[in-house]
Amino acid sequence: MTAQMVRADDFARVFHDTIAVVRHEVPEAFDRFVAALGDITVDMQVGGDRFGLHRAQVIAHRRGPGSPSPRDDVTLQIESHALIALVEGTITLTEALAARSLNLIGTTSDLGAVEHAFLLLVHGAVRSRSPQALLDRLTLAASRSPANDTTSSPLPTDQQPPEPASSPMEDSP
Amino acid sequence: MGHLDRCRRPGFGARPPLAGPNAKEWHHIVVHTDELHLLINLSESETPHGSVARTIVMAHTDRWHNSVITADHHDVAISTSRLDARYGSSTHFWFDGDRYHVRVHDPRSHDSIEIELTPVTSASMLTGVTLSPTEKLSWFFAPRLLATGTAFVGGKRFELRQAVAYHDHNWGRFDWGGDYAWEWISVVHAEWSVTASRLLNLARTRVTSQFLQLENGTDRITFRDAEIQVVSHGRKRRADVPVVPGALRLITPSLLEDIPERMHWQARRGANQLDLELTPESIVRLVIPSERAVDDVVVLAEAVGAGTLDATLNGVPVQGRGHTIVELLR
Repeated sequence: MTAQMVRADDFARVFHDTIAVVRHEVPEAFDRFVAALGDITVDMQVGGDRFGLHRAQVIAHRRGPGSPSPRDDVTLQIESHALIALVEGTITLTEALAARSLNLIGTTSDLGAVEHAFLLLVHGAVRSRSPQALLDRLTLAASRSPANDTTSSPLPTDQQPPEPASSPMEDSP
Repeated sequence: MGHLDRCRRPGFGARPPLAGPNAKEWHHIVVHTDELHLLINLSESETPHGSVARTIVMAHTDRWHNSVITADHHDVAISTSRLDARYGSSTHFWFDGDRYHVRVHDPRSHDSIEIELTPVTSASMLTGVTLSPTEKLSWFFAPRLLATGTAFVGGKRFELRQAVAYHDHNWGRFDWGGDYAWEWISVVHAEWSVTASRLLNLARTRVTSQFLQLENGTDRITFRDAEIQVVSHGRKRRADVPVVPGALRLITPSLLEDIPERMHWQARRGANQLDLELTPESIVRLVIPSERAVDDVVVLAEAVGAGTLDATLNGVPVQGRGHTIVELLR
């Protein structure tokens, strides 16, 4: 793991720490999140950040936008402002999809499983000791995300070079 | 856990402090004007992570403006000898012997409220109300107060002068998400204030208890259980009903508002009879994570609107409309 590859407040770090908080403070939600995700690998492209998710581990090696890797079961692209609007409840998932500020690629089964898993993660986060602190960090990450969000246009069709071997981020203390 | 009910109003002494798992306590204040409806909820509850003090403001102007302010328990100061609670620097709520005072400032939105509320009717208290076979709630309420002060909401300042208001104080030990639901209403008519509640099982197939009370400053008329009939008509299924806190919208089922288009409460006992038609208009959903299931939530739908009263009370006909709030726990 190369921690220096992840900025202090980028989405990958916030996502990783949210999972860690839920694991420690709401273990039932964490266990169900892991079970729902199963063996699915998710390519996350949030604002200008790109990272992977597999078995509740945030994989920090990925950089920049790009096409799905063959290893990814699900690709999730979301503009940073849309992510904030979703978690603040000012737009719905359907509205984000219709506006193409959220793009999803995967089989119906895998997308359903990832949605279920993420909702369990939200259930865990809102039951944690300081959900507002997590939301504040997410908002801060959005404010630092590059203005040129990559998901306002459809997924690029050109293929990216193969990703290097992934390594999970270290757990937070 | 604090002692928020140490108001020592005549006839209402202090109660033992709440403590331990699933202890809950809150004050609910509602203020109505033609331009502004204010719902202020001050709560303390025990969670697996310790006690939490929270101020929730839901203000309806042309739309809802909502604030949720959570205070660290280290910043909470509650008097054990009188009603005086401070939640950090954001909230101060106290009773000076004659009036309640509420000051709230949301450091995020900069919305602020500073009002005093003078009771103009006597208060009532119901203790040990059964929610489920193992869970009970106690309830103290003042059906009519007059509120004076200012509210700065959504960038607009509102001056309140003798605005009609309602206040209640609730406490008990129960889980959010237990086998119960409730329907609560308050109607502030020109002369009479109506307060009613109806408790059901979670599936809403069985009514546990019903209560309806009218108060006009001189007389009090109470109906209970079989003396009350409630019929709902239609369903509002609006997708744009706000969720408080907003972050819980993702995990709030879209149809949980489950608000009827109209509710008809009818009460009969002897010569006293009442028909109350309620039309919920503007709705907001206060969402609380279930304490029974890690993937479920409890929804408190709050709806402001109008209530039309048609009654014969102590031999005198009473008609008219009044500001109304309906709260449905689902």
